Amino acid sequence: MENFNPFRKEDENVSEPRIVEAEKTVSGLNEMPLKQLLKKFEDLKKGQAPRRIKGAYAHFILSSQPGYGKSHLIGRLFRSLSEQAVLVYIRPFGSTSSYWQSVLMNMINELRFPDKIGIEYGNKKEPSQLEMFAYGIIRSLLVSAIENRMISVKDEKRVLNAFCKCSLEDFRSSQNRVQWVRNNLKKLASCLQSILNLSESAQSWLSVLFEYAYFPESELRIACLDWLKGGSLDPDEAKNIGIGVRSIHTDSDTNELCKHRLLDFCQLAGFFRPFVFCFDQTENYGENQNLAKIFGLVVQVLADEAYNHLTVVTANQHVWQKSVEPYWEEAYKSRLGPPIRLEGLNRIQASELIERRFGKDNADKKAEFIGDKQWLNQLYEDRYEIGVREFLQECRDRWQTMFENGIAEKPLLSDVYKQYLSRIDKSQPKRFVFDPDTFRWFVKDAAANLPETQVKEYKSEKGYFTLLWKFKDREILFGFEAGSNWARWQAITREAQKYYEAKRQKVKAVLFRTPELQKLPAARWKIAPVMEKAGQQYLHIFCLERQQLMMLYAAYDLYLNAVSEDIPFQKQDVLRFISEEFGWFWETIQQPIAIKKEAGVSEPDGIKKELIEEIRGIVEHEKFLNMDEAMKKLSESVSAELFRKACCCIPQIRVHDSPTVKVLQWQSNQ
Amino acid sequence: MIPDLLATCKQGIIEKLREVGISGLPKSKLPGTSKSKLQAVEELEKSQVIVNIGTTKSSRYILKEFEKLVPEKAARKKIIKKTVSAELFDKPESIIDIIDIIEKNAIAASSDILTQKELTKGCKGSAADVEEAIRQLSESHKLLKLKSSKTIYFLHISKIQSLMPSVQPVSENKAISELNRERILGAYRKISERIRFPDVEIYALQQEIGCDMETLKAFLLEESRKGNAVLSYGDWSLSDENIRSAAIHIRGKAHLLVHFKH
Repeated sequence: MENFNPFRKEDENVSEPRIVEAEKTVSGLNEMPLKQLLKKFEDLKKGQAPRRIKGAYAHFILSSQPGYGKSHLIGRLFRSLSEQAVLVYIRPFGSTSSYWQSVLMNMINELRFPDKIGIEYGNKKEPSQLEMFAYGIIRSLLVSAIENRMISVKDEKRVLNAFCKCSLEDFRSSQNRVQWVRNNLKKLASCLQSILNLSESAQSWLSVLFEYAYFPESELRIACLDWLKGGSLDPDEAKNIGIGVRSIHTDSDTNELCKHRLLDFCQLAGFFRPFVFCFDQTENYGENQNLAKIFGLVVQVLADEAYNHLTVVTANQHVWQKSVEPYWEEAYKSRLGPPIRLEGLNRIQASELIERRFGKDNADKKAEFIGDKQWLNQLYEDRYEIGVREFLQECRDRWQTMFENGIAEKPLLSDVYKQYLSRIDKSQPKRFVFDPDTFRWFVKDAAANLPETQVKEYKSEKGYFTLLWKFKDREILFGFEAGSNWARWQAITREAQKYYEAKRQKVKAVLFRTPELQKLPAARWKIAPVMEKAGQQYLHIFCLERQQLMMLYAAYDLYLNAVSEDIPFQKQDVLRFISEEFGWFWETIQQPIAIKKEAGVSEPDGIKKELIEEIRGIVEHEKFLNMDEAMKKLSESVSAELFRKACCCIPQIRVHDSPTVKVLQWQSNQ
Repeated sequence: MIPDLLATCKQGIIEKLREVGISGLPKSKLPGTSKSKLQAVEELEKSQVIVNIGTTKSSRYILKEFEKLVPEKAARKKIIKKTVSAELFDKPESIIDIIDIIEKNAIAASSDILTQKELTKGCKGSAADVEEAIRQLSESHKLLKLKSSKTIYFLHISKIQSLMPSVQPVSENKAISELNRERILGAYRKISERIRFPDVEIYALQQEIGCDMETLKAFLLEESRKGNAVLSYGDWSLSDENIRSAAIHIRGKAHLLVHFKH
């Protein structure tokens, strides 16, 4: 009870729309905008499958200032449409060259959420949106094929009836059923091909969806996801899945390909459920005029070319008006529907919000807090409604004045960052995957103020590298490749080598890799020795651990929220903080590969061999941990200085220093 | 202060307190403008015409002549204490709480007109307090009493607000009343349609009308108080000096935009 605070700042921003709790929603607040969206969604469900319904425009949700509940509204929309729509929340993308790639990747990551809202991410008992999407389409095609006698069954009525009752789990549990579906995939593909005009072959689509839906433990799942994201595949894996040779793609325009894949997804949704795409935090597109334009283009394409979807765009009106809209062509503007304005809290709703925040068990504190309601009257003296965030801030100030030590000072950015870290760790497990937008933003925007570093947009000859860091005497190229296709990696290595040789060995290429992706190079690859050699000279594959990813993603969220004015910090403050806090990240990138290999450290005197071995064991096991934690794990306590010296004796351990934390990383390739 | 005005204010307070009897009223609910009210209450209290039986923070004024009818102070305190400890089980409601509930019922109801029973559903206060709440709502024109033969129905103003002809703002400031409301709304609509957004910069509105900025600000603030207009921050950092100069400050915060509810 001592720590009870119904108005904690951490509970204020909606970081993930799926965790919006219905019981915390004030009755009547923004009911009209929600109803309008739900009504539009109903139109998408009309008619028989396959539906081909196009909405005239994206629905435009406007807030007159930050903190009116845009993300909260999306959360309520998601809750209302649970198991009725395929729900996709799209964070701002940062690339003007690979934006469809980002949108598609974001979409696939969203599809991995449980189909049912309220179920924990990664709960293996509950099917994901993608599994249900795949299963729903195949089931719909099977029903249609049986009805049209393309597939003959003995007792048609009974089979169709059983189909309606059969869950995905039921299907998976019977090998015979799965085999029967597999045997009929070709017929289904030809049926699909005749109905829809997909950019990829229907056979490839169905093979991927079949593999993903029916084999949850399959090793080919990652490859399926890669293909769905528009990535290129290892030909052997593609063959095992059943993807046609033409659908593998090694050297095509990936951005265009991703756009068509997304449009295919929307066409396929006509057999299942419509998509709901929600573009939130759109203030971030106003950071760059080209990005604002590209966002307009994305909205236009969705409105004009995509079927079976409801697209929602949220914005803070004034920021939108000043920094995004000026760069939109008339054609883009006309693809936004009439603005739907969010409302603030009126006095009655404000009282209800207080009631809900306190709950049923804190009546005394609540009565004391509410008092004679004069403060509430004063708050509403000059206005009829107040933005939710502003009202909560008033409540927080009152709470702190009444029950704590007065109004708290503005929190430190480092503390807010720590909150974000914990939030990602606890409630956003879906984030621990390759996100090119975050990496690109880090090495482009966050790195812009690094000393002696010139950051430039760049396009290498083959297009594998799209960003460049220029120093006085050397250069670093950046690529953002999530795929695991050996042919593509061979091409990447070749291009990196070309630059390395042309620039007289004064260049290296950096590519990021995240834990869920296949380790590179795969031992069976013919090009593995070449890549390993390249890894000692010019090809730096930066493998990020989960903890490191968490740090990067938390920092990126912090920045996005600063731009959206969801936190009381300027974006410049956040950028400054990141350039200091992420010393380990910058150092790892900047380090020349050749020097890194030579950096062996001799064992200094006075350090026991046992201590070194114990530290080696701890860090090798944990891979990435805080130095304080590592010290606590020692059998005998030692000073930080001695510990640090001992670490220097182990070449595989890298110590990352930042003003707030010292982190140890195990680098097995040293 | 003009003595006549003070005397009128005092008279108003006495009449009001006579009307409500021993239930009394908090200072905020006593009639009169804030300046005159403060002085009138102080003088009436000094001359022992009225008495505060509440606390300084949570006042409750009654006429001195009614004081004998309410329990002794100690007893009152006891009652208050008892009530607080019993709050978890049976929450007593102030008139403000009752007003909240009544308004909530009236707004949320699917039918426009309600009987008193429907209107006061969920109110835990005494019958006198409920009556008082209804009276206050009626007086402030938020609730309309409609009589059909012997039955009385209630109608909340929000249910018919959109059908009402617009009313000139009542204010002491002559300049505001002179400013034509329709003209402002017309200018607002014109800009809103042009920019295709519901919130309009106050500066743009002033430029469109060509009126005195301070007069417009006073008018908008009055409309905001009445719930006809919503003022919001907008984005200070993206606004130029002109736009900033039109800011209306509420609780120290600059509001650059206005939205009129239709």
